[in-house]
Amino acid sequence: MSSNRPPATSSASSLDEHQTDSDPRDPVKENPAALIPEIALVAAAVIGLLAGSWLPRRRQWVVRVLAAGACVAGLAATAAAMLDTPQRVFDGSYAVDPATNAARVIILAATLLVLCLSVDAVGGHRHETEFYVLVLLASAGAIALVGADDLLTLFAAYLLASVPSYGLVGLLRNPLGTEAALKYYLLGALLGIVMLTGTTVLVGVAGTSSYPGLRDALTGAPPAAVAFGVVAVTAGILFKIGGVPAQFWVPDAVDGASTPAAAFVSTIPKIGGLGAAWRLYTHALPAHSVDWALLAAIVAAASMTLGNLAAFGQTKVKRLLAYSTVSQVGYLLMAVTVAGRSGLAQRALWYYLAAYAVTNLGAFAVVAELPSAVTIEDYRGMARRHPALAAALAVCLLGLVGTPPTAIFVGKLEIFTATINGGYTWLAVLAVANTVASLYYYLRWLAPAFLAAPADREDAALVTAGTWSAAAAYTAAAASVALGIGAGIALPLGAGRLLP
Amino acid sequence: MLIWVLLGVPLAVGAGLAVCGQRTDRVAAPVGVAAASVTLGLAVGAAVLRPSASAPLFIGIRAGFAVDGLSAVLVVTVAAVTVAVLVFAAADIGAGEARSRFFGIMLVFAGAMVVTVTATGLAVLLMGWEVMGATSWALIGFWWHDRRRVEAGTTAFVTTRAGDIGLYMAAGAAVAGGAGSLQLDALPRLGSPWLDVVTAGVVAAALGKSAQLPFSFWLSRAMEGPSPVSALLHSATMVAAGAYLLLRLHPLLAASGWGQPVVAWVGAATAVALGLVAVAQRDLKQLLAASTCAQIGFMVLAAGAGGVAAGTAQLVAHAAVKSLLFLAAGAWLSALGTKQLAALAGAGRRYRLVGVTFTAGVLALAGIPPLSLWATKDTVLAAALARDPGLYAAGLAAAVISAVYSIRAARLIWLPAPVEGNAAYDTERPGTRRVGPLMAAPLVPLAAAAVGLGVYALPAVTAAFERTVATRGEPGPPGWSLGLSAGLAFAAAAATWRLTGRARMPAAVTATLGGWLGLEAAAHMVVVRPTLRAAGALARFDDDVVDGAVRRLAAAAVGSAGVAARVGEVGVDDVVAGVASGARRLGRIARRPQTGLVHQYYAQAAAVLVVLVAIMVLVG
Amino acid sequence: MSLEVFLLLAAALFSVGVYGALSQQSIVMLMMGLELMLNGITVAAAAFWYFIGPGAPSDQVVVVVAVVAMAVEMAVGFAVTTAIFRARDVDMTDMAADLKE
Repeated sequence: MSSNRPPATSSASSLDEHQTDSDPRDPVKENPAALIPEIALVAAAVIGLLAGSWLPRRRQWVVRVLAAGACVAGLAATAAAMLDTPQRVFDGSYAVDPATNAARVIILAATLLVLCLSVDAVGGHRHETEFYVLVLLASAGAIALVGADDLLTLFAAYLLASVPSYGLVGLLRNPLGTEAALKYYLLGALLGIVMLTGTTVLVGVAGTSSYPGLRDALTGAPPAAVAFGVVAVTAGILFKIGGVPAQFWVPDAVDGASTPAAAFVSTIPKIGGLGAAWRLYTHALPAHSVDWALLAAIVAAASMTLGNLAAFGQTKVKRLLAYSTVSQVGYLLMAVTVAGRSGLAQRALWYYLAAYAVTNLGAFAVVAELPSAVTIEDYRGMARRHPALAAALAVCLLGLVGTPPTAIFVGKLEIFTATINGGYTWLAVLAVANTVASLYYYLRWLAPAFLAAPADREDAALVTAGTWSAAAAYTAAAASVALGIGAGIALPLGAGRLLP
Repeated sequence: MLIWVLLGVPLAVGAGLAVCGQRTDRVAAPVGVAAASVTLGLAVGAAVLRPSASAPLFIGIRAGFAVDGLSAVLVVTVAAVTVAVLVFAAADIGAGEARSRFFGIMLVFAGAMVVTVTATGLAVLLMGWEVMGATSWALIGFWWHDRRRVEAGTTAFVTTRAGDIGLYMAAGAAVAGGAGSLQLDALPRLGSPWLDVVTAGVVAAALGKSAQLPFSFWLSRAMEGPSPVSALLHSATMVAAGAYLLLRLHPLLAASGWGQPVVAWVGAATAVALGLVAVAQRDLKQLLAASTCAQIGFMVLAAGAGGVAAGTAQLVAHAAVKSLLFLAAGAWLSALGTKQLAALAGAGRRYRLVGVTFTAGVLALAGIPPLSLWATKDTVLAAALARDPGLYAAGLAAAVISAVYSIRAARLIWLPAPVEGNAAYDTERPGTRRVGPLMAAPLVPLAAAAVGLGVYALPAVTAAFERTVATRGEPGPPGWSLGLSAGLAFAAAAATWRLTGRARMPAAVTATLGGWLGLEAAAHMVVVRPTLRAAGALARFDDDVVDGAVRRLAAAAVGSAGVAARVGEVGVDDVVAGVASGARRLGRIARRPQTGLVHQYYAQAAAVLVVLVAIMVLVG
Repeated sequence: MSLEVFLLLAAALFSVGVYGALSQQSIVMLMMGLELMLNGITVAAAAFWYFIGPGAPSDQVVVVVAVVAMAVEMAVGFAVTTAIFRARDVDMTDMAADLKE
């Protein structure tokens, strides 16, 4: 089933031998420099937390600069790492390879965008520092999800990505935000435990937790135990990416949280979770064991359909965006479905993730710029009052549908091609139908924005928040188009062979 | 492929009609008849091509279907009778009724029978068997406003279910005994204790479904349903399913050692006892029902005596004869509003075509040569003779009795109509006083079959049929036996013709026999009442629970029939109204899980995860 | 004492936990259910380590991870529960249902 996977066993075992020789217990022999982006994020978080408790409220922007600096430093380090050879670090439990690097680039850039669009909302807030710290930690967790090459690392990354997110959602301490945090936390706790159960079962039957070891050991394991373990671990990943059946938190958390927090939790963990699913399925499971492709296909079909249908009648823009992210996860999971069956799948996944991140964040930036506009109807007359912002919104929403020349258009094209290539034509057909249907609700939002407002209305709903959110919206919209036009350059960056 | 289509057409079209409800009432009859006709065409095709197919069902168990000789005969019979009955029903079930539900469930019912007779494994056979049981309940209780009819449906369902437990027991024993694939042909090879359990289970299930002693009473109650239902239920499906199961599994009966004599004697006893019951009936449909039990008794006897071809031929001939008779009775019921034998006096004169075809049917039923049942019954008797002269004697007695009750019915309908005219009519429902062409149409081919199948008596035909059913060297009826049975039939027929309308039966006999030997009362006395009494004792401890449950059960039986009717009639509106509103409606459904309640999120997520695990385990 | 006995104990603990998590509407009781599920995992992992791979560290690390997860999840959980109790006087899941369709 994975003809394009390199004949891995021999090279994997030689790699393991090599690491055993170099005594993994000696941390000096490990290469911490390989983890500069992650370390930068965590260090900035720790320093920011300490600094934030000394800084007066009006000067907490220093922490923001620190956070942005960490992201930029991480991007620079990643650029350097992309030129380096792939390697495993920390006893083979963490892989630094093209997938991890792609995730680093996308997550760090997306985090910068989130920082930018959050300034107007959290600047001067008494929890400003905490917001940045939690964003940094959760970003580090999302990257770690992709890099994890060991089930236990994966679960640790899950915790690192989840726990700060719960705080982020409830940070503003308004009643709805607290309820959102409660629901997000309770679902995350349950599915995290399910994930740990799956981990325990897989480790129990395999006797090892490292992906290459699992792939060898699971070949003769009881199929039912492996199937349970895989579904249970997938449950945790589905929580991170907000796919069916773990999508319940998405509308409630996005609706109740502050817009920057909502933008963050609906975008960044998805990148980590999908990368994690990719690596888990293609590298930790032996060929011909569990039909994980079918699992991914079922979840993909359910997510895209449920998300789209639920968005149909939605009038609150944040809930509409929340459901739209659920459906986008469905499209993204298509790439995971045909991982190993189609050579196009990998670059399609990473390209689509990048496109999705900027486009979705752009839409959230517009929402953050107009904090009083809650329903679709509130956007009436927007084009007249804020033409540039309306244009950005149009680019982002049409981008989410997949209209040329935006990036998601190319992404969808790539993913659908890969899906058909990989033999899942029915899934591609369903996705095309869903894409066509999704136009309806995005247009339902755009239409009032470009209509004239009734004369007698006060435009309190369209009061802008500030320049930072608008800047984020323009940047994201521009990036979405630029990525689409420059697809020829961007696409190959997501390719590159993963470590076996 | 052919076999999937053959199974799929009646089940899918039927399910569609049943679900669509009132909206498709207008087209239900043509669609139903068309689907049945297509099924008949496919069945003939399948009988020629003998396809087989299978798909994975559970781990280690495949859902296998195959059309071999025995199945081919049955599939064609089922499909043909279904077409005839549905044509009749198109006239009988009027425009004001829930026709869509009726035709839908009829098709599903017939489809379930096709599944049952083509299944190669116990698992699929059980599914078809269960669907048949459930749809028979829905069909007998079709007029669910009438509580009595719903109760009749419940009686049929509960009784056959009691027998069905045997089939589950058999499946369990087969797995325990090592025939994990549940393939029917693997069952006779089981080891000693399990073989006996499987045989006992199969026999119990088959006797229950076929209304043999001591389960016969449910068939009497099943007469409460519409006439087309009786015609289908009592000829080629449902009751025939039990006989089919025994014929199919005759190697199992043989392997067990005790299975064959038990089955043969139960069949013979039923043929005699229920034949006597039929003689005493005053209601035409009750007479036919009792005679069904008796005639199925011959098939069961054949299965027990090892005469598979003979039993199968009897099944086919009986299917033609009995569907004809029930449809004729239904035609009179519809026209005259009564099915009381006394009131039907002269009905044959009034509606000639119905009278003539009915007479052809009862003559066949009486075993008058050279008609169909005479030929087949004699091969059954020949098989019995080869096994045990006692069985032969019992069978011969049953044959004489069948001549008596048949000719009694024939005589009554040709008596001159009573002078007082219509006083006895319309006692059961308002009659229409006409038999439409749609009602009469199916009677003619069925009568032709009832008469024409007598060719089975020709040795060449018998041999060809035996080759089809793939049995070898069954004993043919000796010449003296043919003559003896024909002579007895003629004598009994002549005597009955003379006596009917003049002599009266002793009151005690009519009371016992007319009440179906008190079987239902006995079942009540032996099973139901002790159960209820135990419940009453328990009620002293917990009055509320048990009492409430009994009342709820009664209410639920009536209520669920109502719900079934209503469920069939909602749900399509908005799709018709347009794609836009349909999508919006789907959107509302898609948002419904988002209740805002965390514990409901938990339950939903857990449920979906369990399903995903199940899929992965099953696929992997 | 064999591996099966401990796995049965683990499964029992886990099942009680699942029941609690799915049946309770009081947030604290629900978290107790989650806690029990984690306990089951801990027992299973320890049993795997003891009976199958005493030399390999993986199962031992699972135990440590499970304990850490328990601590972290519960700390966050009680923080969130306290927050919502302070903000809205809510301690049952069905009282926190403003965010819905």
